[in-house]
Amino acid sequence: MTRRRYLGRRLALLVLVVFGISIVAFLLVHVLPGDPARSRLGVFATEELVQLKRAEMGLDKSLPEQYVTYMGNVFRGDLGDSWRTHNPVAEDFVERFPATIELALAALLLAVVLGVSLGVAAALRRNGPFDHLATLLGILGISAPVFWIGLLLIIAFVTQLHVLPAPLGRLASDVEAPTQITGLYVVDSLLTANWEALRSSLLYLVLPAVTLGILPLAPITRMTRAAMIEALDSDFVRAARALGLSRTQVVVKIALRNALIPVVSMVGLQLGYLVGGAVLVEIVFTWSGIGLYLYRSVIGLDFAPIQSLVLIVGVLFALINLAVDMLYFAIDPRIRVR
Amino acid sequence: MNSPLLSVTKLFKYFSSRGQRELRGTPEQLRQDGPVRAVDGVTFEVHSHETFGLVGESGCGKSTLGRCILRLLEPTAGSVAFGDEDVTRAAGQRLRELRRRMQIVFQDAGQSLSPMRTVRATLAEPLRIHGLARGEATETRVLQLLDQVGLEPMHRNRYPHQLSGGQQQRVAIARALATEPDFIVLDEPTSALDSSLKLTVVDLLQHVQDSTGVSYLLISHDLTIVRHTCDRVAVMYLGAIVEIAATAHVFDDALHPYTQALIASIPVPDPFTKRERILLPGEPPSPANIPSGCRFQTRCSFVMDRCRHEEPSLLEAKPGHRVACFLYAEAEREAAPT
Ligand SMILES: Nc1ncnc2c1ncn2[C@@H]1O[C@H](COP(=O)(O)OP(=O)(O)OP(=O)(O)O)[C@@H](O)[C@H]1O
Ligand code: SF4
Ligand SMILES: [Mg+2]
Repeated sequence: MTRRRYLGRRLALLVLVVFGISIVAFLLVHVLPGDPARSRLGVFATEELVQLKRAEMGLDKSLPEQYVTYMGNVFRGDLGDSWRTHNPVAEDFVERFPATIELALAALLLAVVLGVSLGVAAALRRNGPFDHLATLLGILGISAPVFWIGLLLIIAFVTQLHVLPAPLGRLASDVEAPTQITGLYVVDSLLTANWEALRSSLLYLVLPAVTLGILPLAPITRMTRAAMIEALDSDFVRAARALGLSRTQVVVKIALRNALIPVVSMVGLQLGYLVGGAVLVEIVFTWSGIGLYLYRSVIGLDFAPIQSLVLIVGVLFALINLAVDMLYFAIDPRIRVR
Repeated sequence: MNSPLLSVTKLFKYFSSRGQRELRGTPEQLRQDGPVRAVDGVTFEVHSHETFGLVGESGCGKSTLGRCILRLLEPTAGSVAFGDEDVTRAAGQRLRELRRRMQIVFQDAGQSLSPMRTVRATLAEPLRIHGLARGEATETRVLQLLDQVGLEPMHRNRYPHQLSGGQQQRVAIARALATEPDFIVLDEPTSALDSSLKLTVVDLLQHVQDSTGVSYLLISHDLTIVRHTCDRVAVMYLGAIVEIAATAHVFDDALHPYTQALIASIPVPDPFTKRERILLPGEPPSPANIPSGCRFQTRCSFVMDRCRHEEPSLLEAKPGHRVACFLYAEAEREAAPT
């Protein structure tokens, strides 16, 4: 299969998936308990008023008609209004999205760097101390719930050791947020050389990132270890050694490079779980990202944000999957050239 | 006779029968725990310009012996001398220089090429490691190597998966030739190829030897090819050499009962079967459980009382013809008083 045909097929698939997601997001409002019109007006509104509101919101039209209107609005960037925050959902979303991205990226970076190093160390000395640590982390990652780990870390580092700030947001209250460039506080404070904000944002980021990072850490470590063991026992590694390549170069240039291929696809898979985990972590650490926003919207039966988030997260997910596939394509010559 | 290029003396390689832990201690001590005695006290020499054959059933330790000679495995005991260098003790720059002079072609060429690298990168690697060529000169040398093994210039941009088995084999040979070594271990260089390709590869190797004077250690199941190409042959059984002599003597005047059985089992050339394995009545015992006394006694039709209690050593029965069997003990007694 040529590269172009492969790309074409993936894009066609993406369009289908996005269409499916939009239908699900749209129908969600009709499935969720409660009446959007009534929830806006409150329990004391008369039935007449509610009917008027329904007509105003277009809820009296047929489903296909409503879908077309809905999608038309979405494409114009109108995701409806949140009655809880009184803001357009799109605005709320843009405001909170960077916080989630910052959290997810930090967690992923942590998981990849730690997971790959630990996996390599475990493979190099099987049954050594790092191998046991990897096994332990694997058990922890599978059996311990995220919020439990988060609470444990808070108790240890905040209440007992007093080395980290209380889990209330992204910055100390007396520190001003850095000038907005990317919306990621750590990056922005670095870019603007705002050391006070950098220090504070890092301190606030550490625990949530570690908590969220534990989730993908275990599978990444396990996959790296297995792929490294296989690579290290391969003839092409033996051949590289026979050529006189130093041990470090054999491990990094030959073995790791081959072992990373399955690890990349594993990281892609983990991104999905990361989104789910982020909701929980944001609740535990009152991290004002879209996870916390979603949680509060669900509690308050705020339909527009829920609907939009399902749509956006779904599309994002599909795009990430595509990106990971493309990456796979770029790094593995067996797929790239035939 | 002039001093040998390679001399292997009382070489042992024991593997732990549980886990992949490296075993430490003398062979005598380790034998208590029933290790896998893959190489069990092997002594032989290879001379310059010589093709030395190593034959024996699957699992008798041929590949392990080859890897120990090249220090791809650390021997349990014994020594390997190459020229006036002690291979088993070399380190750093001296080991690197040895790696330049001693090369290997692996049993499965496809597996010995990194799937992530083009033929060009694979062939340039040894040149870079040993500082043999730079920039333009690398390209010239790569083309020269391709030509030497009968490949086209266009093959240098291919990845291993884009090559046929025969072409992969040629690349593996070209890589081994890149550093202009004095000695190459050929681990079943033809076993993955079909019969017409076998002959071309054998011709190629022969041709290379004629022009460069390289010595080969040819590990093979294929007795026909061994008879064709080797100057001397060693027959290995359960980790030990049981007979060693000039090729003609091994094939026409085999002394050891095992060698005789091996030769009797050479299949009649049959274009319809691709018989590769040596077929002998009965299964060889496991190398983790080698019989005491003569290691061949469980399958030998000449077994005597003495064979069950004592281990025969490899002694000269005729000039240049050594055998480890009590049937030739006359020679041993005659030789002893001198
Ligand atoms: N790393 C290892 N750990 C434990 N046992 C091993 C290891 N490598 C080889 N062995 C064992 O040592 C013995 C000799 O193996 P080796 O690969 O040297 O045989 P061989 O003669 O090359 O066989 P073949 O003709 O099938 O390639 C076998 O019993 C094998 O199972
Ligand atoms: S020593 Fe005995 S058992 Fe061993 S090969 Fe010779 S005759 Fe057979
Ligand atoms: Mg072998």
